[in-house]
Amino acid sequence: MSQVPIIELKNIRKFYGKIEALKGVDFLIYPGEIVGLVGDNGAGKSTLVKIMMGVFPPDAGEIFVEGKKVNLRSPSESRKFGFEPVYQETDLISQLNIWRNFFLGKEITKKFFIAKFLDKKKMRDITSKALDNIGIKIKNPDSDIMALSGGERRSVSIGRAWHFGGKILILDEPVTGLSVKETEKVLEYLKKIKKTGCSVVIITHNIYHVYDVADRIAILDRGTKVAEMRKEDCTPEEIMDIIRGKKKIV
Amino acid sequence: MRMSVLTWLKSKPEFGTFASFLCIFIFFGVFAPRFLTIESIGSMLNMAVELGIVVVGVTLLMTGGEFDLSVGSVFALGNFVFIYLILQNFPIFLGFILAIASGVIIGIINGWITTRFAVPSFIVTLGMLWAIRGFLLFLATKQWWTLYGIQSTFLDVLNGKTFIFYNAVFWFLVLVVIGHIVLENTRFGNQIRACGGDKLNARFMGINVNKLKIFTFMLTGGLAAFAGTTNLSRFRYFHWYLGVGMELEAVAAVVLGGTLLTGGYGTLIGSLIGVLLLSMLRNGMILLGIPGYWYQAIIGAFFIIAMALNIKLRAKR
Amino acid sequence: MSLRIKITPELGSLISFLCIFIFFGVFAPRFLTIESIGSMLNMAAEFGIVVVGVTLLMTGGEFDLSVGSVFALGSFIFVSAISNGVNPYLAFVFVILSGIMIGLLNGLITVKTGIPSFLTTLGTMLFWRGVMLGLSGGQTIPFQIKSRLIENAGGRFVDPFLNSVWIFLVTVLIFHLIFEHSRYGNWLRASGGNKIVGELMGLPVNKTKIQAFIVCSVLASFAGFLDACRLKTFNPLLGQGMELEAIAASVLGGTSLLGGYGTLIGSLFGVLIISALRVGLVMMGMTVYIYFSLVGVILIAAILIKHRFSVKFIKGA
Ligand SMILES: Nc1ncnc2c1ncn2[C@@H]1O[C@H](COP(=O)(O)OP(=O)(O)O)[C@@H](O)[C@H]1O
Ligand SMILES: [Mg+2]
Repeated sequence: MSQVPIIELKNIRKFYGKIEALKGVDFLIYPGEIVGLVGDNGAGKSTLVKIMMGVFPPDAGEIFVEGKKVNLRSPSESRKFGFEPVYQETDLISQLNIWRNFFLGKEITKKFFIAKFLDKKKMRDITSKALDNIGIKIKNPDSDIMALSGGERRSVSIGRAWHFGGKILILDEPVTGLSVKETEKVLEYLKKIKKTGCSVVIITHNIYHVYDVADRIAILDRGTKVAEMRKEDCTPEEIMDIIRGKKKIV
Repeated sequence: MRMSVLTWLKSKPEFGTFASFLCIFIFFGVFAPRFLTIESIGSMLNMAVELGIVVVGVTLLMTGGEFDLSVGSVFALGNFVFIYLILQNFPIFLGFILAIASGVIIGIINGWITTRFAVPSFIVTLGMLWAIRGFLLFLATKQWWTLYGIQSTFLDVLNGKTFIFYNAVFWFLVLVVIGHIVLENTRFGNQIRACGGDKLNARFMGINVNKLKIFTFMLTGGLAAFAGTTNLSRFRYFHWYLGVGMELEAVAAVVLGGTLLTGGYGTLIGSLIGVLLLSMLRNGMILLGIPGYWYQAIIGAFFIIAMALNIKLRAKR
Repeated sequence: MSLRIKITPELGSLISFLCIFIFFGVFAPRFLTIESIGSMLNMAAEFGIVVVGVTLLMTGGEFDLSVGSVFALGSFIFVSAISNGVNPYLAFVFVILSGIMIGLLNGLITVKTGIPSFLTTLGTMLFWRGVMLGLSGGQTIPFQIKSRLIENAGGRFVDPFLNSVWIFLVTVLIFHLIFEHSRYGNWLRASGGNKIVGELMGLPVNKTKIQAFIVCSVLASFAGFLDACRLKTFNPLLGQGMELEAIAASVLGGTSLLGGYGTLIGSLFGVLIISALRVGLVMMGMTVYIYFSLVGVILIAAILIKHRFSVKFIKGA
């Protein structure tokens, strides 16, 4: 490919005490593609994306953003490059309503004499519109998060990440705990998001979930990337075999 | 061999407190005149007991993940009920039982409200703190309450002086040992920890969380009232102000000992050391001739340092 | 087409306040006079300013038990400074600076060491109380110095309302705006609601919390200053027990004990409930002692009612 990757991770290693969660992993993402990151529980998928998100630095390895070497020292630095997370654990704060969650950390304000006040109307409108754009229907942006179903909550997170991300959405197990119907919906949102030119990294240990939407699939196994292929070049069964360790790297 | 003893000690969560205890003990031993005398050790223990008896219950309760801010008021209530009944010419033993019963009842109410309605015990017992204190103020400020002139073997046994120790020291130590065995070596103890650690899981494991919690509240109330009766037997008078502020002192002693504020882990040996630490600090400062007004400042500063140490050591393990 | 009103906690506290108000209006002669309403507000003002800070901090998921001591320390610093010939305005600056410093210390210790703020501030509560007792020798310090600042801060422009009443109301208003209409309010709630998520979303959680600690201490010491100006004396017992009362007022107003939710309008009514009770009971000719009991009972009742509504709300949704 001639394109420059948005982000490129080279030879990343990460230790948790004595456990080596990542043993020298290369990973990159091009603009406008959906990449599936798959692997068994404990393979190191979450660790890898947490490094992309600046949650903690790698113990070794380099990170390039659009060809330039960078250090991602904090989530806010990472977000400045346009990487937006949807974490495996919920990333909404249950005490705040939808629009407050949607704009958390990126609140819109307007000046009133010397003080800056929240522009609530604008934030409510944008929240509704943004969610609507990718097909998410929310009755009222003032609803409590507690009053939403699991799928609705996940949709709010995804809508938010897309709205603010621009470049890469990072979804860690976005469909875990959702019903089949809700899962399908979430995958639909992702396709719409891709059409807007945004890249998506979707993590899962269930290959069937991503096979449908992903352009490229990378497989992690106990801290190493054991395979990476374009979707056209493989079947879900082949990938399952690699995850189960039956088949060696192609 | 010596190495392994040290490692063993270090592996104990009480180690941090114990180390501070030793340091301070040695410090006072060197600098405070007459600190290493039997009288001084005695007065250190004597000062500790009432709070100590309360702390036994509070430790179990906090291990189970709950608070009791009403212990100071229940302590005073135990005092009051006991003296009131004695002055009404009740048999002293019966008065003693009823005084403890008053604490048990308060504990049951605290526990019932907390578990039945799933509300924070912090608030329930804070309400109880004022409810009881107001009641005592209302009833007990109209006259002097003293047992002056009343002789009783029961009171002497309960908390007379043997040698240089008040008998309550003995009750206190017995309670610590029992509590320790219960928490470390019984199913009940295990279940308390499970409740404090993860209520939901505990419930799935088939523990009757509510019953267990009500029981620990009951125990805490009963012990606080018992501490009140020993206090009365020692001082033989009642004043409504008794036990004001005791709730936070008890929490301080318990967490100093290594019990977690959030529940799930508790240690009675730690609490014992925590209580002794507080009274040793006081006793040592008296012997050093530090003006009494500064005690709180020193205890406060020490408390923060010790807690920071506790957390450091815990992180290492 | 039924009219549906969401029962928010602040609405709950308003309703309770109105109930109490109407009750006394009916049963206590002279309760509905401007004097009695004045004394209710006057009684509420200084305490209320402290509660504003505590509400802020509790929303951020932290406690401050040191407010009572800081309140007294604020009074002490002001009074001892002017008694030693310092210009009152400069003395006032000292008070505010000390508040900033104390809050910063509370915040830094909590954030850096990981000691739960309940315990950090339990330590600093003892520490500052001790320092103040040590420096003042436990003596009250009356003063006669005349100054515009003191007259204005302790006096009344509009009888029978103390000026501190207006200051209190303005403080509530300002912080209400901050809570509801500023980024900071949003961040504070998020930090208290779920620190980990807040950090993931890139919020400066620790900084936000430390700022809240500072605001809380500054308001407490400022209230202490107002108290000194009103009474023209310093009393070392000032503010004892205030820490738990402030938490109670916040919780009465609907602030969550677990952080993440708080309301200043609610706290305003929480404070007013407490002082209405006090004034009303006196006017009914009841002894003031029963007041404590009633506050306790109302606190428990409030938490039960709140629980019922919130459960219904979740179920209904
Ligand atoms: N905070 C942590 N502390 C210690 N070990 C961790 C931590 N997080 C993850 N690990 C370990 O690192 C490995 C990779 O974890 P993770 O990245 O969460 O895997 P995945 O998301 O693929 O299931 C696992 O062995 C896990 O136990
Ligand atoms: Mg994972």
